[in-house]
Amino acid sequence: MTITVLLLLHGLVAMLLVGAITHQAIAVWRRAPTSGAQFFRRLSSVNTGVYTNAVIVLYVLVVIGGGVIYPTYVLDVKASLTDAQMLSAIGAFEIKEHVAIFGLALLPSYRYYWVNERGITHDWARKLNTTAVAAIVWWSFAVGHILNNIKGL
Amino acid sequence: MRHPFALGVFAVVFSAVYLAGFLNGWITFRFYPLNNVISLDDLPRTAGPAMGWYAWIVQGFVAGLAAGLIAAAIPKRITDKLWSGWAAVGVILLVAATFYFEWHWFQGQ
Repeated sequence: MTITVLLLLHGLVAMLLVGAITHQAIAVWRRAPTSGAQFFRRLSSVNTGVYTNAVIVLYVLVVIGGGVIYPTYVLDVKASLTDAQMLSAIGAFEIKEHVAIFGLALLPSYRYYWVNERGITHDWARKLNTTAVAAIVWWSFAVGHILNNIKGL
Repeated sequence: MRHPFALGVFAVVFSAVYLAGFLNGWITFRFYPLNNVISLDDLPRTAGPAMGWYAWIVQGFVAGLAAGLIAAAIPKRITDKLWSGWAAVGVILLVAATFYFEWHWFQGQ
């Protein structure tokens, strides 16, 4: 029961993280002034800097939550996937467990280019840091969601 | 910390040492979830599956922190000449390497 609640919380926090980092990643690549449909104009014209600390807090919470429920995955889910020969699912999760840590390691640099260096000089550093974190978050979210559909805790 | 080069070094070294630990089986300690035991030794199979993930994180973090502190001693006037996107590119390349090394899971099904 406890692990189910933890998995649910882990997923909910991950969903918030996906929303925040996606917003920021879209906005960091926008070409001003943005034209097009009002939805996309508003989506890309937010004050992106305000998402930075939220992204970091949410990311750390998701990693901690993942670290807590990971042993249960190893004992219950991974064993079932192995028995069912669902090797792609295991591989996708293996990649998730690794790249999620790479994203964690990149967070101080990501924060620096949003908080300390807002100038155009470091525009590419900001774009690449944000895109890398966003891609990692999306991979992790998608894989976690799919695995939960295959065999939840 | 206002030394972006040191933060970049931390990110790349942390990730690289983590990945090297995984690829080479460098595990300073193992967690055995079946009995909730942390051990410095490789326990027999009866202890259940061993997890090296926590060890790789700690190893990567310690190495990244040490490298970052050393990098912070390098004057900014030198490191500022580097293109500031290098650390993100380094981490992206490590992500690509991870896909490469884990690709065997997706073959032969």
